[in-house]
Amino acid sequence: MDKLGYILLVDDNENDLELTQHALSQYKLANEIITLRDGAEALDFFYRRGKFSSRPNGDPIVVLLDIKMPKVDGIEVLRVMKGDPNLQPIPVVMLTSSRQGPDVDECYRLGANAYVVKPVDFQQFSDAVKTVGKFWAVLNEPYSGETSSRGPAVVPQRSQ
Amino acid sequence: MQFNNVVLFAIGLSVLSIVGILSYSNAQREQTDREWVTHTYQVLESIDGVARGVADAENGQRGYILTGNESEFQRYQQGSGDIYTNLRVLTQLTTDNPNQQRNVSLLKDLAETKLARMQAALRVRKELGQRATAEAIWKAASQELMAEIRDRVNAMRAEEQRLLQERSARTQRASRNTKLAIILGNILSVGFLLMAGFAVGTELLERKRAEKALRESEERFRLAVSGVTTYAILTLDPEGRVASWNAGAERIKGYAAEEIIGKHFSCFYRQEEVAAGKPGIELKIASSQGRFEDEGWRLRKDGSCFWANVMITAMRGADGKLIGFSNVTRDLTERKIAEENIRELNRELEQHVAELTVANRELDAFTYSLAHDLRAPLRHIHGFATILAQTGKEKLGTEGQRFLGKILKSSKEMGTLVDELLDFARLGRLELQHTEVDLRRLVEEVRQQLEPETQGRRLTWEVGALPDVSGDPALLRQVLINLISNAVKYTNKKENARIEIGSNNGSGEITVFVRDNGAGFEMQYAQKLFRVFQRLHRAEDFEGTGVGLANVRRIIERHGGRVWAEGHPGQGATFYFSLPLKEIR
Repeated sequence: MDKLGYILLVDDNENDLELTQHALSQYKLANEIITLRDGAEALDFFYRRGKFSSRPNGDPIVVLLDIKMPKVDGIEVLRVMKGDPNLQPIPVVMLTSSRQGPDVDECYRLGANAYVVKPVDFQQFSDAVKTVGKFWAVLNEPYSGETSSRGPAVVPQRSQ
Repeated sequence: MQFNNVVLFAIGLSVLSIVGILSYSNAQREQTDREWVTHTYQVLESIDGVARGVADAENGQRGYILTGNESEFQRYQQGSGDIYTNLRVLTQLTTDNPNQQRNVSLLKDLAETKLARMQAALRVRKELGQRATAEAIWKAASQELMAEIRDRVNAMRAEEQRLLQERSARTQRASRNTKLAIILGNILSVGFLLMAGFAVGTELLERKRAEKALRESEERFRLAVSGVTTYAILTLDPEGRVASWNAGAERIKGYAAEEIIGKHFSCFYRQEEVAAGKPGIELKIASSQGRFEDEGWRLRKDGSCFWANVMITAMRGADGKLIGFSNVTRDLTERKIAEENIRELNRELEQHVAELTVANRELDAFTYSLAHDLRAPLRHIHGFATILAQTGKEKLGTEGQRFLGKILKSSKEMGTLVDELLDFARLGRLELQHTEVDLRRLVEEVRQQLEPETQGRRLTWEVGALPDVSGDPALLRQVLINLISNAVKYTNKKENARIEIGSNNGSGEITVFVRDNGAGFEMQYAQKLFRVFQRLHRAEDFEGTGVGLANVRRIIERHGGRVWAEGHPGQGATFYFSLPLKEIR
C-alpha cells in the first residue's frame, strides 16, 4: 500500500469536480485525487473492469460520492460497496446538492460514513470540503486490513 | 259474577234446603205421631173389649143358672173368649209400656179369677142340676171382683188417655216449631236471594256501562288512528294478511282499504326480497322479540319505491297468544334522498381533497426539484466568481471588481432564497415530532443566536410568561427565529427599539405574540404577509426573500394553530400565533 492514500472523487458535474478539487488543493493535501464521472465508472474502478482492469493495487482512504449521477447513482454505488466485505471498510462521504430527507436516511442505513450538503456559498463549500479532506486524509487512521475503522459522521454544514 | 254475590246465593240456597229438610222430617214425625194415636185407640178398644167380655160372661152365666137355657151358656163362653182375645191383643200392643203391661197382667189375673168363679157356679148348675146352689154361688159372687176389674180397666184407660194427650201436645209443639222454622227460613232465603239478585243486577249494569265506555274508547282510538296521514298504521293477522288500514297507509302506499284488506303484506316488498323470504322473517323476528324495526325500500301500489322506516310489533292477547301484528310505516324518501345527496357531496368533497392533496404534493415535489436543480448552477456561479475574486483581482479593474461583487451578492441571495424555498417545500411533507417544548427556553436560545445582529444596538427586550407547549421543537424554533429576527430586522432604524414577547391563555389554545415598535405595515396588506414571495418592503430598505412568514404559517398550521398580524406604518407590528392546548400534559 502507498505511504499516502489517495482520495477518490466521483461526480458527474465538471464544475463540481473542479470546485471540489480547487477546495482540496487550497488545503495543500499531498494525497493524490482520482476523479470518476459516474457510478458505473466507480464500480468498474473497484472491480477492475474495462479501462480499470490494470489499475494499481490499493483502495482509496476516502470516497467522496455525489448522489445524483447518470447511469448508476451514488446511492447504488454505496449499496454495492457496503454489501461487499472487501469494499465495506472503505469510508464513503456522500456529497450532495441538497438535503433531501429520505436520501440522508437511506445513505446512513446503507452505511455511509458521512453526508455533506454542498453549500451555495463557495467559502462555506470550500471549508466543508477542506474539513472532510483533512479529517479523512490526515486525522483518520485508515483500515489496515485487520481491524475495522469506521470514521464518525461529519456534521453537514448548513447555509442559513 | 262477583264473589259476594256467589256467597249470597249460596246462603239463600242453603237456607232453602234446610227448610226443605225440616218440612220433610216434620211430615215424617207427624206420620209416626198419627200411628201412635191409632195405637192408643186400639189399646182403648181392647180394654173396652175385656170389660165387655166380662159383662157378657157374667150375664150369660146368670141367664144359664136361672133358665138353664143353652143359648145363655154360649153367651158366657162367647164372653170369656172375648176376654182372652182382647187380653192377648193388649199384651202385644203394650210391649213398649211396662206400666200398662203390669196393668194388663193384673187385669188378666182378675179376669181369670172371675171366670174361674163363674165356671164353678156353672158346673154346679149343669153337672149337678142344683139351680139353687148355683144361684146361691152366683149371687154370692156376682158382685165379687167386678169393682177391681172396673178399677183396673179405668186405670188403664186413664193411662192411655194421658199418653194420648202427651203425644198430641208434643206433636202440636213440634208442628208449630217446624212451621215457624219454615216461615222464618223462607223469609230469610227470599231476603238473601233478593240481595244476591240486586247485587247481580248492579253488577250487570256496571258491566254494561264499562262495555259501553270501552266501545267508545275503541271507537275514539280507531278514529284517531284512521285519521293519521303522516304514518301508515295497519294491523296484520298472525299470518301477515292486512286486517286494518288507515288514511296514512292509503296516502303512502296508494291502496284503498277495501283493496288491500285480506291481502298478504308481502306485496309491499320488492320481488327479490319476497323471494328471499324477508316479510316472513320480519314477522318471525317481531313475534319472537316483540318487535322488529327496519329501514329499506318498499313498494307502492303503482310499483314505485319509497324509503320506509317500518316498525312491526307483535300483538298478544291476555293469554299470550299471538293475535296479530301492528305495522307503523313512515315515508322517509325525502330524508333518504337528502342523505344520499349529502353522501354524494361528501364523496365529491373527499375526492377533491384527495386530488388537492395529490396536487399539493406534486407542487411540493416540483418546487423541491426545481430548487434542487437551481442550486447546483448557483453554486458554480458563486464558486467560480469567488475563485476569480481571489485570483484575478488585478486583471479586473475597479469596475470589474464591482460587477463581480454584485454577481457574488446576487448568487448568494438566490442561494438563500432557494434554500428557504426548499425548507418551505419540505415542511409540507415533513412528519411532525410532537414533544413538550419549553417556549421560554427556546426564545432565550433564539435571542442568543441573533446576538451578532443586535450588537451595538439599543434594544429593549421584554419577555413575559411563556408556557410549555406540545409540538415539534425544531420547527417551533424556526417559527421563533423568523418572527424574532423579523422584529430585530424591522426595528434596526429605530432609536429606542423595543421587542416584546409574551403569551395569552385562550379557551383551548395558547396565543404567543412578538411585538416590535419598528417599521410596521398597513393593515390592508396584513393577509399578504404570510404568502410566499409577498413582501411589503423593498429589499433596499429591509433584506428578505418573502418566504420566512410563509414558513411560519405552514409550521403553525401543521400544528393545528393560526397566525395573524397587526400593525401600523411607522409604529410597529405584532405577530401572533396560536397553538391548541389539547396535547399539553
